[in-house]
Amino acid sequence: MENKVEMRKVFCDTLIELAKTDDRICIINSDSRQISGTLAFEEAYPDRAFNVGIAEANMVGVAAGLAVSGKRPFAHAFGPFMSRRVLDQLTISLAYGRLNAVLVGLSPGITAEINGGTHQGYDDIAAIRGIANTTIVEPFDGVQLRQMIPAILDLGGPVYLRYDRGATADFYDPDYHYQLGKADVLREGTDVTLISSGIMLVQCLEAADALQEKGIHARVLNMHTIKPIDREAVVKAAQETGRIVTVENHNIIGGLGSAVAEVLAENCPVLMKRVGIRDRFGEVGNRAYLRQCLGIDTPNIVEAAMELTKENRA
Amino acid sequence: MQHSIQELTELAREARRTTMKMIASLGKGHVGGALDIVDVLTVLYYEQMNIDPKDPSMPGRDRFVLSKGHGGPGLYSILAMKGYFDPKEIYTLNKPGTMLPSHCDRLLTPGIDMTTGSLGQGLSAAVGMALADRMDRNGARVYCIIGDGESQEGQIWEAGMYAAQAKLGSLTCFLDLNGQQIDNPVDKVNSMIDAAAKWRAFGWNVQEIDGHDLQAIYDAIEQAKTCTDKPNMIVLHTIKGKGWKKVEGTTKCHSMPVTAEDLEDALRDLQ
Repeated sequence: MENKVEMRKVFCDTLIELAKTDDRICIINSDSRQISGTLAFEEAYPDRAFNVGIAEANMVGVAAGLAVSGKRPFAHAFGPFMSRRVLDQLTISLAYGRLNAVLVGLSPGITAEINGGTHQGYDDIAAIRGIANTTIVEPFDGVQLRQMIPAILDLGGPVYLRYDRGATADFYDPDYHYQLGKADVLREGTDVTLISSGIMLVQCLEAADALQEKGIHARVLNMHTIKPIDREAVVKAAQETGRIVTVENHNIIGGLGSAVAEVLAENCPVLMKRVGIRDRFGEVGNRAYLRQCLGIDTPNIVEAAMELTKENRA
Repeated sequence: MQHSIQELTELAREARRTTMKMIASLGKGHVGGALDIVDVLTVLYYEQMNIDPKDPSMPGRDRFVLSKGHGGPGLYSILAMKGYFDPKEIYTLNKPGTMLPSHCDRLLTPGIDMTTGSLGQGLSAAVGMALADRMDRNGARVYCIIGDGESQEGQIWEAGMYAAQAKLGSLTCFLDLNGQQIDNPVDKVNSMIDAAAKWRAFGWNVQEIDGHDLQAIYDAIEQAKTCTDKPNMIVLHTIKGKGWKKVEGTTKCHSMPVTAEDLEDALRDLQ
């Protein structure tokens, strides 16, 4: 049984550690102190922790005011309320003014589980991707998250950080070196590439195992920086494996799949398939049920890869 | 006070003349909302704010957010007069490549502390700035101007609620209560009913004054400084377009063409 860590504890511990030597770091919650897992930061640095209550638009504006004063605020809310709800605020108060703030979108997509369709945000990446001067990141495990946070502090614009705060097994070794904007090859392969980020990488690795048994060698790419996307890695995968399957805990419209399609179409058009939420809303359920009913489970990934590679095997 | 009321009156008049010349140079602009804030800006920048035009990013300075960002031209006149940039720049307002856009942009104009333009967002930024000053314990003050039309945006009240909760005594906001917005007088769209009462109910220390009385403005700011555990709201009763008699108090002066004849007419009023 793998060792699992609570991602939000990693998040909070990392912030506390960084805050020791970087007095710019502060946090803002929107009645989200518990769900964000940042109580320990508040305890350690009470005058660097703010709670605006259930007022996400104000929270983003306050983040802008802190940022323009030289601080580095981390704001927290459930995914949909940290993205589509505050789209104008993050655009005008942060992105347009080139201000640094990290907007943490908690419980992305299926991980919102029984909070249901209103809280399962399958459009947050799509919403933010089209706003100039934004960065979008989604960590896979605690090891990656720990290194991601210091790397996103000074990009000159808002960063949307989308992550599942629950227990996650460490994939990366302690000697892993994270690079913002550079995708990681989790597994090498030559027949097809599975590109994903965050929780869906677990299903991708399972799918790669299943494909292996059928003689299909699948590369698995962790595209942890969705914007700006690692075009080089996408093109390399297209050139070297010839087939791409994108997998996302997000609508197939506007998210990672679309971002990859844009790169392929302009540089190296190969056949691709997008595994993701097919432009519908979610519903109440645990994540295993949701993966199945929304068509983003391991068999869906295997099927897509096999569909793409069938001529090779005919 | 560093200046006499006579001197401040002349400075405000000059700022109005500059604002009109600026807008006339392009031929159109947000005349009403730029003119009516000139008096409070004159008092702030000439009497109250701890600033240095030679060092626009001086740490620990007092800062100002024009939440009703379209009032830019009024603020640019004051900044030009104070020496933040070459006064000749005023003739580039909204022209291609300008450093003076319609809506305040801190990346383009020295002296602008926060970028605004989507109504309802500036007060939240002012709150964040005041919180940063508190973290830094620098004793600085943050000033903000919001509009009454702008107060129809819910975010204004989110910020208002939180500022009181955070006891932001270093924050002083002015409400430009000119009673007008684009479509109609405010009372015909969404009336504020009783602005002062609303802000008092939100837990702010509220004063109501004539927004064109320089002494009253100065005194109100002084009073606000003595209130340390509540944010301060100074409701300014203003006349949109104040200074150019032909347009004073009209709805249409929100954004309007300004011809050479119009400029002559306005400058006559502002002698």
